[in-house]
Amino acid sequence: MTDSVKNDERTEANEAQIAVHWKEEKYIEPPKSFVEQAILNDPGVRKRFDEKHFPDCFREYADMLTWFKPYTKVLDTSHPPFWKWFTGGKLNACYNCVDRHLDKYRNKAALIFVSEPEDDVPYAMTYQELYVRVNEMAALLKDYCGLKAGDRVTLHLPMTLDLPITMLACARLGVIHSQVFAGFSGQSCGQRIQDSGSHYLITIDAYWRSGKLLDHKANADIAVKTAEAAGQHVDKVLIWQRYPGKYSAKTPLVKGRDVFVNDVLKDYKGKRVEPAHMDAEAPLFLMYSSGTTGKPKGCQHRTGGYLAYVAGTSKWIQDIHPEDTYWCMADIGWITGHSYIVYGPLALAATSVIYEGTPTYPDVGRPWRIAERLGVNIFHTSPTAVRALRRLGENVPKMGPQKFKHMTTVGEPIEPKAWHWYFDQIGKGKAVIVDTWWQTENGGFLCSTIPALDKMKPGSAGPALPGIYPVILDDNGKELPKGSGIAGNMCIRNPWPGIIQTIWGDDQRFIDTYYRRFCKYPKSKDWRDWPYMSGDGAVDAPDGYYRILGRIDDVINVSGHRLGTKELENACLTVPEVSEAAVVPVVDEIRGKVPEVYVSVPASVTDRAAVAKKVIKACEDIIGKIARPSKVHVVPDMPKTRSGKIMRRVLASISNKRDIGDVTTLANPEVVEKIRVQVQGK
Amino acid sequence: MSAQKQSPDTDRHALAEAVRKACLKAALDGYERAGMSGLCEEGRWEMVVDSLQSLDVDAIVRTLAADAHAGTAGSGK
Repeated sequence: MTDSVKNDERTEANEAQIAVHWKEEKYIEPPKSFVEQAILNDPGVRKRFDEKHFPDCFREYADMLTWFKPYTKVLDTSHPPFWKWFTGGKLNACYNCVDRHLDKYRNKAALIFVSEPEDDVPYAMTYQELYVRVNEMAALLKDYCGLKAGDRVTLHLPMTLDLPITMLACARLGVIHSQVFAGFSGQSCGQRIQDSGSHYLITIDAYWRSGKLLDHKANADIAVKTAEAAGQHVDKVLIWQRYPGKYSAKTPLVKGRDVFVNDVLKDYKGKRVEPAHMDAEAPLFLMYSSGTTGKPKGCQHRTGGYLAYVAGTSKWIQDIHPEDTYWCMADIGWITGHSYIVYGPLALAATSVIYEGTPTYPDVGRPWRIAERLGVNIFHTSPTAVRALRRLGENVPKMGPQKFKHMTTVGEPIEPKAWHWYFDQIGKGKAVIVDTWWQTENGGFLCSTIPALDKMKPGSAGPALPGIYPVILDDNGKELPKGSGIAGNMCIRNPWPGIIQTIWGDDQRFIDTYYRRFCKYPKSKDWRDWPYMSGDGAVDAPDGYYRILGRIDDVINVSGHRLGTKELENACLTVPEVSEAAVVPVVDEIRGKVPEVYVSVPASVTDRAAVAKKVIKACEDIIGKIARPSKVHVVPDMPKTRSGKIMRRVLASISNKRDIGDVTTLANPEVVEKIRVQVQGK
Repeated sequence: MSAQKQSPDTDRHALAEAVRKACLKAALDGYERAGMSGLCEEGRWEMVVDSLQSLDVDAIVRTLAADAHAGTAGSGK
């Protein structure tokens, strides 16, 4: 075809168009054995958390915490969208996760550390021992480093006990911790040090990953160099030792800057530090999100609202009892780990497992051996891990003796095929599954089934959690009817306690990213006028279950560069002959996904191949070679709604050779078949 | 004993192949690791970009030099 031009650029796009074609699955009842023991089994909960009872309903979550001073107001909306939760209250996150459990659970395991080398015996740290270690570290941070409430500290720690100990020690003082995923480079860590204004970096000498003891100290040197180059001086680098008393990295120490935590801690043995009485709105931590588009966003989470939300959702959705052994395979370097390995489970006096290494090392049976040895009965992992474990060992879990009562998935939608394997083979049909949807900015789950009350439906995240009122808006901000089954922008109409306070140091970016697009009355102080834009697409099925479709922010990832489809379309529109342009992501068996461009031209334009070449040149000249389209289809007209909106979904279906669906309501349905024939042939 | 001398084009090609191989491994490993850890698509891409940015190019050069010394450059070993 003369009007189609190919290229070999690797591209990536969102998953929306794939997920939307999953068929609706049948319901599966939660196992009776689970329902009988579940914490939340009162169907009245949804009524208690309906809009009539908002925001007071969230007192139920706040009441799960211990407050030094009771809050006076549940929600302050006086400065939208900077919501304030539980104002007037004072509390301490560390106290809630450690101290308050000592009377009843002093010698119960708080954390169980599983080292990657399998010969190492798992180490169970009791709440008492955690209390001692956290206090000593807090004393070091306070007296040796001179840190105080409100200061920021960057952590670049892997999955060892040093990480939660350091986080909780910071929280005890009111110091804001900013943990950077250990797998991230020194440069990424340095950028985050600079952005947060940290003067201290806390790291480790080495850790195990896929059978290798990685030299992590090398990253600290790069991080400090990067931060210094950006104008942020780092006073000290505190280095935990993977094997206390022994330095396991090859990278030399920097004299006067680098110190071993274990050496300094000797001076603080037996020290106790009173937990700071923090305002409910005091920031607890920063979690940086999404740096592919430029500067990473420092998501700033508050103390009271965040802790209440993760405690509440851990209890009701994950059904964590203090007697349970809970294992979340995520990394504490991400929000999932903060909320559902450390703060949520520990606030409930649970036993939380921390595994250092790769789940498939030395073989695919490792997770099941860990679960069996530790008696894990609540298992929390990602669909990617489920797929990997299935791919590598289809029949392995079936043979194992693991007995889960509850299993969670997080990170992306889980397709029905993987869901059924997870349910049948790993859960042996006796464990309930919750498929959760939420984001770094949200603090905790927003959509999921309530495990003892709602039936499971593979492929769907489930209804909104109690007290969360979602709405699906079209691109013009118009609400799509509930149960319409039409894909749109997933928004949350109301504030909730887990939402971030702001983006660190950039209030305007916070407003622009999450609220500006759909706020009709920017001067309004009514929370109803400030829907939170998640940036994800979703479909609300007639039963009220949400199916999350992935990002819908019109962005295509091209070789790691995120390009707005609008940018590409605008570039196409600079070609004089082009009347309209639409960019769609297309699945490519070899390269993953590629963007294709559709442009319409007036009937008077006959040399379509020339137009296609001009379009490609425009994209390359204006954006760069990275934006070169995979194919350019020059068509006589675009499929449009009666309001004139181009139906990119239809074009994407044509390019992906999928069912186009019902187009009878379009303004010009006849053009669809013409385009299909042009693109696919007869 | 010195390794067999190769043409500059062969050397450059071997270097390009080695870089490609290392980039692919870094990208795929980063994507998988982030996914295993429960990250969304956007976070996984961030991890891929970070993995590529922090690729140890010195290690690639060292490996190539060692291969050349052993006479295995370009053999795919």
